[in-house]
Amino acid sequence: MAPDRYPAVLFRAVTKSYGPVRALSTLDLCVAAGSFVALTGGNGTGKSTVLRLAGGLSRPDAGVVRVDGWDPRTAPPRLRGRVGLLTHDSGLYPDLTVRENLVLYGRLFRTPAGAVPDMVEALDLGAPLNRPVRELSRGTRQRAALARALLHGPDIVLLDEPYTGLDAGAVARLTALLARILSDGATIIAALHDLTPVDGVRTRLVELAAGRIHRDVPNPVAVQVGP
Amino acid sequence: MTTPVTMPDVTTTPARIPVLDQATIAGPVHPRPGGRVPGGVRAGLRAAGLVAAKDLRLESRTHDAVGTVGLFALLILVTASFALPTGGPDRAGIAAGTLWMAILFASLLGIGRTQALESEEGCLDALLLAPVAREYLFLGKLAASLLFTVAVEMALVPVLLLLMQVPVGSGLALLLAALGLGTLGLVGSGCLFAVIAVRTRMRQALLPALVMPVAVPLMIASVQATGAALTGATVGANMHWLALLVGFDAMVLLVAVLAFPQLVEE
Repeated sequence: MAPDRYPAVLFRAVTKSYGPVRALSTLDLCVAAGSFVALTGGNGTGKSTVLRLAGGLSRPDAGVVRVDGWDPRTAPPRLRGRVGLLTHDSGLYPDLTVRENLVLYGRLFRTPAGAVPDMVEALDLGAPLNRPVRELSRGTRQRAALARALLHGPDIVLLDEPYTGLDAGAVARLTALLARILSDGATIIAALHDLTPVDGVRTRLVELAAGRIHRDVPNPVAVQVGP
Repeated sequence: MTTPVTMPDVTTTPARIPVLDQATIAGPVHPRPGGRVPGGVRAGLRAAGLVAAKDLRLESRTHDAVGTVGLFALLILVTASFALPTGGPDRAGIAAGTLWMAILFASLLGIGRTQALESEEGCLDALLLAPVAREYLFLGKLAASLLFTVAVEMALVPVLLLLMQVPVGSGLALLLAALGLGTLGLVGSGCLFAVIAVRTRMRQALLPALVMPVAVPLMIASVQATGAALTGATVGANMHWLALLVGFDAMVLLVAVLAFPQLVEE
């Protein structure tokens, strides 16, 4: 868990443009360790950019990004091992099976031996485990991508539309998994269009418009953790 | 047992977590110095090995980087052997030029394909999150591409010697040195520029356009050393070409390792 001295994620006056398109405009955002921020807003309001900047995959044009006090671009590699990022893409090799992909990322992230089976069970990936990712349906591929992003037990979880393509059962499984991760002390920032699945779990709602915070609404809830 | 967990909030309850209130946003950013993880070299080399092994596994499924590309390179050799005058006194030079032309196009095509696999589903982004210094990921990609190119060369060289009727004899050591050093520099620069090219729409055309101007000194030295080897010349008589190749390789690898972490960022 991130030390209390530092916000889990801090954006200060962050601006980011892609060519002529301004994705973020002097954005200030401070996310406490252990919170679940639902990041919402219309298309092109900067949600994905926030996640990519926090994941260290992108550099801001101006402003400061900190993850647990570190600049994610120059932080020691071990910080990256504490971050789990799901982008629009699955991050899975289409010609490898689900198992081969998870084993690869498990070894790269030095996860414990039981991490892959645990994640397979949590996201119900037993049936497609030995199938190439290329052959999977959209929803199954999304579950495999989530397993990839969460496999190493990150304590800063950045998810871009994690519920995309999931059926009702998978939605419930994912929400339960996120609640469990949150109760373990992790910080979650999820870009979402539909907030319904996380209504009982999220602790804060941040709505972006034109690359800035348009609305910032707390949602203090008591999550029931346990069997 | 059910345990209620109250979730902290940032903006409305600053008294609960004072360090995270609005004053924190306006105040110091708590900079932390960057640095390497102790034992990071071993972890990095392990990660490079995993990336290379992954590329080998993918190649065993797709046969793109060796199978398809190797066939393409063989076609270049065969076509050149019919199109060029291979019976004259300069056949060693022609053979060397033909060989390196085939190696150049084959390696760039193979590198472009393996790099495209990384961008197809955002896999490079996922790799970049691994807790190792990013230059090791480059080394993994480089190792795999080197293996693929060497595999293609192992098929090309015997065919070249057969088609062009050039004996190696005492020039074998020089030939191996020229192939090894030339391939390392070519693949190193190819892997570096592939990171740039893969983010563009014209990736297939852009990679050769970026690499070829840079690789001119390498190609000249490789062709000259290989041509000398095919006339039976020794390493000692061609140290200047090999020294040029060593210098080129060192420069390319240094630049690649330093630039890769910057190039992969948006």
